[in-house]
Amino acid sequence: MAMVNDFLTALRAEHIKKRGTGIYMLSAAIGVLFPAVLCVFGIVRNTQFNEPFAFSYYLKYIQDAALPFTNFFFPLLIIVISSRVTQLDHRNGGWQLMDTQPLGKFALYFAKFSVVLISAVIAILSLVAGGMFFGWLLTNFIEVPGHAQLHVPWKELLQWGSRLFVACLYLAALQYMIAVLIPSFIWSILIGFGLLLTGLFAKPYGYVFDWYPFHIVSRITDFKAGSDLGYWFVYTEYVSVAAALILLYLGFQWYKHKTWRRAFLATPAKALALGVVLALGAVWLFALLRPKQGDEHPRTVLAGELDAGLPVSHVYLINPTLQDTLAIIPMQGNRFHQVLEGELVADHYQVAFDRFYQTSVYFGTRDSVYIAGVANADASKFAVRGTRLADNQAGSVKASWNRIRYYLEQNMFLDDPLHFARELHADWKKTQRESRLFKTVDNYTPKADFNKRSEKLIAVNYLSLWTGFVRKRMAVFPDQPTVPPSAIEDIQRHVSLADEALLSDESYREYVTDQFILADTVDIPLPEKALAGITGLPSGRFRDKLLYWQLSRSLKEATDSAERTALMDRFTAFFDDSVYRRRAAFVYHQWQRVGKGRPAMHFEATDLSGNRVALADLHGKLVAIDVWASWCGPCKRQSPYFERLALKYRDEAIYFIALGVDRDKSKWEIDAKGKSKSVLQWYAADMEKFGLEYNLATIPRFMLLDRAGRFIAAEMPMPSENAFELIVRKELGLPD
Amino acid sequence: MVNIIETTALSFGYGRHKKVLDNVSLHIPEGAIYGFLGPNGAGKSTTMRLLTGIIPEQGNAIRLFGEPLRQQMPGVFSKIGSLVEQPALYLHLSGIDNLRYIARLRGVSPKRIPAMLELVGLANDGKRKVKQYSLGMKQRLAIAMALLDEPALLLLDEPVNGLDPNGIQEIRQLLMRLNRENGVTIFVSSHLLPEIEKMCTHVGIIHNGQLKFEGRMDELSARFATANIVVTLGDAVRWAERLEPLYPGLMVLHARQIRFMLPTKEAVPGMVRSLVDAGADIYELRMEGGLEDWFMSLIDTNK
Repeated sequence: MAMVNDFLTALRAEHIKKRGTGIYMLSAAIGVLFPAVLCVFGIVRNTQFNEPFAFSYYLKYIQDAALPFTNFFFPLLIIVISSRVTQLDHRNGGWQLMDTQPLGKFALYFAKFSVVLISAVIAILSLVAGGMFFGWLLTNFIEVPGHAQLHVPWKELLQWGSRLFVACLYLAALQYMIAVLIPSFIWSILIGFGLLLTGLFAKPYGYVFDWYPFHIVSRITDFKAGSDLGYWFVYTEYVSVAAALILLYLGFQWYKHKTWRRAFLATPAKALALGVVLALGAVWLFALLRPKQGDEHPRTVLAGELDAGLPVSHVYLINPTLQDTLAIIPMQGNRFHQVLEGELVADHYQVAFDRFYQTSVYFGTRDSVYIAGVANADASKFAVRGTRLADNQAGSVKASWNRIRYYLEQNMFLDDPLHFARELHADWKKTQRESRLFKTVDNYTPKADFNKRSEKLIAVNYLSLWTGFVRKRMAVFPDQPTVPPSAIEDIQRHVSLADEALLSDESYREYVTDQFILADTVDIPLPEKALAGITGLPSGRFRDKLLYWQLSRSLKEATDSAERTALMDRFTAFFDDSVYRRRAAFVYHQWQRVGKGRPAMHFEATDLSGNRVALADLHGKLVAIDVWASWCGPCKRQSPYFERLALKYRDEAIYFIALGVDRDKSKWEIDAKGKSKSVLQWYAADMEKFGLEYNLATIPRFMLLDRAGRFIAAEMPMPSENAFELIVRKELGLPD
Repeated sequence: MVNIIETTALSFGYGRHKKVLDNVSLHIPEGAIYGFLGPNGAGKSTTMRLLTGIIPEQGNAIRLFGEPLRQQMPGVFSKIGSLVEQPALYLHLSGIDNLRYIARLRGVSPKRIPAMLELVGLANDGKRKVKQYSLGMKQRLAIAMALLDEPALLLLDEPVNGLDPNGIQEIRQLLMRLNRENGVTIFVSSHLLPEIEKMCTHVGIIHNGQLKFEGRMDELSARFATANIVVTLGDAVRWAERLEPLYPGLMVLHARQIRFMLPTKEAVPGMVRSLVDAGADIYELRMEGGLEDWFMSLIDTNK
């Protein structure tokens, strides 16, 4: 109790002492600054919101404004204020004056530290209050989308603000200790500023540390949503608390005894106390910082929920290689739950919600994964939790730009394979190291099998670049064979050419087939080389899967029915497992059905006046079809070309139809009304059926039918290409 | 009588070998104005810092108010006002705010502040920023801060350093009044003997970390009460023979100079009168080996 009174007395005295220093004003100003700046920006640039889902407007506004705050200005504020409040006493003997007052040193040390913390709280509260005010101000100037929630998100703000406060404790304790220890104002600022800048510059290079005080603070905006697992705080915030306590102990003991030796080594008891604090701190930090992995589950469970505007009846679990359905799970309300029996090799499985939405989930036997999805007409978003939390997040982290790809595009070092290989090897090492660093916001890392797979796929990516390099060299220096240098062989050792588990990944399949193509110097089409190479493999599942994939691709790319039939005749015999043969036959029939000369399947639609229309109404003229949707960017880029042709050939015997496949009819209507009248605007009546029968995998898709309603081409070139018009002219009987 | 401050063979060293204080045993009785005298670098400030706990004590030799200092930290400071080295003040604050700060830390009513400013003669300057104060004003404000809590013991390290003669006198009178009227025990350090002589009841003399003398001021005076007189006069030998029976131990220094001892300084005028009456031609008369000389010799050996 006496200690509390002493502390309060010292705290009030500190507030007398800091009069006229403007410490709290500065904190408030820094807090309000960025919401204000963001508001001005928003007005000047007329900010548009592209969040497809419902979101809290004010939370987003505050978190957006907080980006420069957490990364730079808030840490800087703590550095400056720590130095400022300690300087009041470093100058003119204030510490000695305090030493000769009837107050415990504990009260004095922590009262001053409290001023730093109060400043931090003022800055955070000003940021939030400023965000509320300027966010509101901005709503008067710009249009806020209807799905933005405009009520005050009290709970989220409280959580976010408290996370920010806890995250800054470590930094504050560190900087306060430095500022008390070092009497020089300049040096304590310089040290803090140096640490801040080091953290800032290291970040873009992937050096982000969960024990670095400045990174712990900037994580508040790096991971706005906080824990994936629903915790109030994430582990780095506990790290902040643990490190802050250790630093406060060290700093206080130093302050009390004035030298390190007297503070920690003068008596065995002090040395022991230091040892105990450091040991406990180390154990605590170790426990917090040690990466965690999802435990194995007794069964294999696939469960989840989908928050979507439309009713979904079933969830389909789809094999990544064969595209066949492994399980059909009924939805109950907006949830589903299924225990899967039997062995499931860990892989990226497709999970489809009827035919509306699809996502990819990495899991296998004895994993329990929970998919939380949000979807609407424009977009869908899925998050995977459970035993493969980190694996699925890491899987979505795509390797971005790399300099080797740039060298290759620029044809650099073609004359120096050794140098190219060395650079490639170095870059591969770097990427591999970075991939191992992945952790979720809750400190979960992917499991070993996933990491191994990632490493192999990274190696595959780099080896594919090498393959590209070899291919270019063959063209430029046909007489010089390119022997893989030892650097390349080192990477090759990481990837087998017969790894069945990797076959679900397209880059690996490409890599394997590339090897056959490179080895085969006969002048035949590349897919044929690949197929021929595959048939040379020892029979088994690996060959079956690879052959199935390559054959499906060739069937799709084949230009006529005879070619497809020839492919089937030649290669189906090589399938070991009849499942693959049947699947290949199915694909064959799918493509045959939309093959040249086959009758196009009947479909119905609604036009802009709401009339029922059908494909059959259009007999007697050619029909060009553009399958599109309002949410599809590439579709929107192609449609002007399509419309230009419709205008150009409006007097010819050809209909131009734009068939909308939006789920939300009103969105289609708005977009379709703005389009050229020379194109018939139709809205597909039964999208499911249409998609299945026309083998619709992606849009935009352009098709051309003849006067009798038969396919000329089920997959036309894009109308932006000349080939599109050439085909149309040819079919119309016009001269080239 | 209880000693307010008592040290028992206090020693202190910064390094292993460099001893700043060596077996210093101080005894400051209640109600004393104790002058702690010594040349610069003798160990005064170190002693002062140890007494105020600014430097943690290495042993357990210091007792304040009859109890070991270590066991009373920091509560004992409610009875102590101190001023160590240069005045510790917050220059960005006004004089009043500086006092308010101390009042807050010590739980003293701020109502006492105007009276305190009056006491140190800053009644009209309380609202000014301390950075605008003269050195003397700062010193007086620091003393006001030390006095605010009406301490029983006042520790002052060179409180008149850098003040003009007028300021020095003001401070001296203030301290003597506090001691007289409030019974405050004052421990004041200085390197100036006259300063100590003028106001102290007790004195301790430190040199090279060792206490050379400690006792009442009148004891010190008594110790140097006898006066060595050196007289320059015509025909020393003749006068030596005449004076020898009166002043045993008289010495002839050379042809025109003799030295002898008087029991008290008060005997000097009579001695001079009788010599003149006897017809001596006195050219010069000088007293040797007083307190001042002794203290100066300490400083000289230090050089």
